[in-house]
Amino acid sequence: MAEFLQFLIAGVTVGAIYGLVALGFTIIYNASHAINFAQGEFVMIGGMATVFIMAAGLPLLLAVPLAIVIAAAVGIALYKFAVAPVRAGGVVTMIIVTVGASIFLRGLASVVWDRNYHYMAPFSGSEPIPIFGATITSQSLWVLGVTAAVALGLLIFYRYTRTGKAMLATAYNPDAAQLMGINVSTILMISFGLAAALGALGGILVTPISSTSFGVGVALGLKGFAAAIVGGLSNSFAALAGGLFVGIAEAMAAGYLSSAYKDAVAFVIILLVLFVRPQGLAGVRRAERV
Amino acid sequence: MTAPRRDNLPRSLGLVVLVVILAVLPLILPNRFYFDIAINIGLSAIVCVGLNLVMGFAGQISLGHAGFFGLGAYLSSTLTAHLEWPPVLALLAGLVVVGLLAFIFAWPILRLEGHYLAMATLGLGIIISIILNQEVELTGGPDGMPVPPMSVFGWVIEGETAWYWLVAAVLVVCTWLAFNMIESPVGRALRSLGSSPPAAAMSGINIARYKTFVFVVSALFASLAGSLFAHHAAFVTPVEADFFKSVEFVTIVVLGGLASIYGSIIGAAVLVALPQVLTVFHDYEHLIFGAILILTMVFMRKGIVPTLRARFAGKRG
Amino acid sequence: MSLIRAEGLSLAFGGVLAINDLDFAFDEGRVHSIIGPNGAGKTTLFNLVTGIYQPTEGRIWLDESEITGFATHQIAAQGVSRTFQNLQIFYNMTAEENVMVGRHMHADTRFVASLLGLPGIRRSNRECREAAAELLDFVGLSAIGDQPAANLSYGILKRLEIARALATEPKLLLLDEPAAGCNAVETAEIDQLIGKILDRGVTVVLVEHDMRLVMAVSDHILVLDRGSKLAEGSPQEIQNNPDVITAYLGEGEGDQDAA
Repeated sequence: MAEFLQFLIAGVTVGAIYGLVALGFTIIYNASHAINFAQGEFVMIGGMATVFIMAAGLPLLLAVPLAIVIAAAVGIALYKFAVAPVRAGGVVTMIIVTVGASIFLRGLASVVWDRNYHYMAPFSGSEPIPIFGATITSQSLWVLGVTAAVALGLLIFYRYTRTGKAMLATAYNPDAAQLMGINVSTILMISFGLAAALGALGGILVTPISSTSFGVGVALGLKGFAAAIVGGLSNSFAALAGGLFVGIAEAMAAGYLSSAYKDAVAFVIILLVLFVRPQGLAGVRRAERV
Repeated sequence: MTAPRRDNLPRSLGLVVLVVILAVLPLILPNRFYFDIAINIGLSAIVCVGLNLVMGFAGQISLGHAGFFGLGAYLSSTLTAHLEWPPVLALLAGLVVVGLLAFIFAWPILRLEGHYLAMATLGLGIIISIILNQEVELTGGPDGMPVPPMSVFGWVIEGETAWYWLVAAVLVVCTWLAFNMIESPVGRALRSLGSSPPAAAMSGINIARYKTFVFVVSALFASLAGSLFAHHAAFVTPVEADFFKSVEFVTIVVLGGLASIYGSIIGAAVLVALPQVLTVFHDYEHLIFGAILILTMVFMRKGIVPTLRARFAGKRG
Repeated sequence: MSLIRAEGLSLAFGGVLAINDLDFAFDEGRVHSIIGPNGAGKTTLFNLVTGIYQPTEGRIWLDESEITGFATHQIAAQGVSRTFQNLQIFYNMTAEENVMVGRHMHADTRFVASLLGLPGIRRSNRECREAAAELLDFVGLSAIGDQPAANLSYGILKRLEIARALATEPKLLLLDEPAAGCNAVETAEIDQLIGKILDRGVTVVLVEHDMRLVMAVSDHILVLDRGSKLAEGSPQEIQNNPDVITAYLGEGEGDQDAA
């Protein structure tokens, strides 16, 4: 029982991170019907930027928002220079461009920073806290707490702010939104910035747990995508729920089956979802208009 | 009264030009190092000609073709090294396994939209990569494994010259197969489903069947190239199946020109030769490949060969 | 007698009934038109008949063979073809190649033979080319056969789609707004073309908004409104049907329908 709980805690913690990444995928997909293959790189940028900013002398409290701003700026730049120019080109073009951006950002990180693994101290100490026979670290609590705050924040954003409502409108029907005076390009830009910020936040939260390097984006991005499609790419809460699903599945597989194949779990989930129920748990199948 | 077939001429002419270039090249290449590059260009070109059929003609996308390449490489390696199979038999076994895998995989996935296919192929490629890394007894794990030399019915392929001719011949054959298919009702069906699936279906084309067919053919090309690669390099590591390798293949296809077979060969020449010639390239590899993908899509979406072709056609007209 | 008929056809999108318990029967060798206000479900009906949508209820027969639930390519094989409201041209090919794709079901489509470039394939290519040339001539487009489709004008592309649809040698041809965006001269040409198609032994069903064309060319008209059959009959009968007039012009408010 204690073992199960331990796996569960690990799964929920990493699942919250996957959920944040999944949020990024979902937000961009809803705004532009495109999958942003570079989403994982924002996660990497969050962690790496924070580490290097702190190494330059700034405290965590300043490094974190700064890193998030940098990531958001990169996200907006990605939209402006890579995505916006090719939006009319179709799905395959978008995929190629975001894959290119993903590789480019990874290469940039390896050049601007380095190729080593970097570790960051947990936010409030590493003393494990006992709970029902298992232990939980304060970092895990940070992860869960921040993610919950993000969920709440998004809820308020979408329901009560103009921009949030405009984003929902654009997701439902970009043409109608445009006719209502909503600037769809601006919404897209905000979507990319927001997705990057959320990804970066995930990266910052997870670095004290599993360290970071220029290459962590691929795996984290894919696992976040697995989470996003489990949720059906439909809304924020489905994304977060998807994240928890993937995280827990991964932790259980690692604990009870084989830790060597832990990384394969998310990809198997991707394939299963795509084979069996591509619209995920909450999504709706869209018909093509002829 | 129909006009004489103009567009077959460039294709047959192109094939002749390819054969001539391949025949003349050994006279120009100064040493082993350059032969090695040429062979690797040829192997990548074989993969990319196949991948182009999927991406450029059928309008699908695969981000996991290195998985098929790597699988072909490792099936040849393990069957010849551990079970002492004749290399040709191992190569054929690789084709069968990869073909089956691609078939089983394609059928459910190919009915979905572009980015689902992209993610699914990416996932498959990575799973293959993970398995190759993990099964250390079989594959040597991340450190890789040595591969016995290639022999065809007892005749051992040794030395860069012999390998060059073998790869060149295979490339010519694969290109010939690709062109035959493009210039046929099946080829037109593929091109149509990349353009408008509803209209293709209304013309009686079973879209799922055709997408599966072209995906399997391209997987077979990749497996073949992978097997040859393993024997030529005499050593194979899981790097040959990883995501970056898949992206390399996609970059070659995109840069050379979607739906341009010669573009894929030229793209392979550029992108395989460059890192070899510019050693400083290595640290900036990701940066440069990523930039190439983005810039090509933004400024030269059709890729090198079709863009040049349009330029010259414009000048004449 | 009836080439295609349906009973109890319904299509629901979530809560919306796009087609509601529709029965229809179209006779062979005639020109039928489907008309109705915007949103009546005309193109949706075409999509149902051609397998792009699957009905939630009801059944469809072609030549007394049931085709309910068939996929699009299977329905094509049964002898149904169509053009599309918003042009589904293969822009990555020439005009001639577009029509050649229409010959698919009559071409040599063996996979391995295609890879090997066997003589049978070359013969099939030639046959496709000849058939395409004949059809391009039939619709009056023989001059532009080797033009890339991407360079051609809207009016030409509409006729190209008809040529491609005829290449399948259908029993039944569905034309989705063939006169959309056409001027009076072009519409008269469409009228003539429909006559020629009929002479080839192909039954034609049109969805159209252009009432002059509809009344001039149709033997039988089906009027849809909000997914249900409102009326059907000869052009005379339809023109004088008060329900039809109301549906188009609104309830005594005199607002013109932008047909």
